[in-house]
Amino acid sequence: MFDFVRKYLDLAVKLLMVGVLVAAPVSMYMIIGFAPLEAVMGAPQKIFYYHVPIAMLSYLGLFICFAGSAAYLYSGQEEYDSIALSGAEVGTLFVTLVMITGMLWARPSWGAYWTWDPRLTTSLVLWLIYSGYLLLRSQVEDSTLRAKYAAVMGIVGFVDVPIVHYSVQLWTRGIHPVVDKTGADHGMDPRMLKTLMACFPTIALIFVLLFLVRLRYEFAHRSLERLKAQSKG
Amino acid sequence: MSFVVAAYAAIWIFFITYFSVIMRKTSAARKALAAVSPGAVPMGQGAKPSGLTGSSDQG
Repeated sequence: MFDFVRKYLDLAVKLLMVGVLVAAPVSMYMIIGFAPLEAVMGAPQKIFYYHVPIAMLSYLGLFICFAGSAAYLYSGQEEYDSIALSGAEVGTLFVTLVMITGMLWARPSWGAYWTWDPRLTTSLVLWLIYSGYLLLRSQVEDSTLRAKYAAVMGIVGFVDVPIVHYSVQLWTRGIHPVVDKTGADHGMDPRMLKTLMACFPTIALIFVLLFLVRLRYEFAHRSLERLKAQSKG
Repeated sequence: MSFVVAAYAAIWIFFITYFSVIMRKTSAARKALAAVSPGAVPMGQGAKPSGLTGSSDQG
């Protein structure tokens, strides 16, 4: 399976780069020129169009880490460890962006960059868990031990993802709004909804592109490390 | 409006920087691999590949 992945990684990266170069200007145009100004929040509401897709795809990155970690512990194949690491790194980047864009949206909307709202607090905990995951990987010398420790942390750390997602419902005293309503009662202007629907695939393409380039690097890096180890032996 | 500009600038700076760093590291790793593999040493055969330089080749 991994031979097939390695074979088509370069082609997939090239196609995704073209996709991002087409989709990104379209989504930015829709945010700036197509989506209307929101009546209460005004311009800062436009942060919403990238903030929400980035948040959803950060969950995907961390789920990839969880699944890769479980597969590594089950099979012992180091490619699964590469997948887990790539998912965690891109997922952590996305969580970082969610927090930065969230703070930049909160300041004009709530009057403060940060409040100890349940969604914000659990997101900070999530960021700390996966920053710890990446730190752990950099501190263990032995590659097998590193992969095992990281896999355990990748599985346990994922517990926080549903807590972040459902924190708005679990702790109702928070001020973060529920933004994932679907169906007829989403209460959103059709132009806003179209803009959000244009931004989702753009961010998804960027996510897959970053994940695949990270995975491709990890494969190359590990091949090099193996050859160096062989030359030493 | 400045908050919107700052948010989108942060997003694109993060994406482009991360992408550039990983691409540069991949390129360096592939160059090092190409330098190592002219001897076409099959992995797992225990033979020393030619072309390795630096301390890792001293042993």
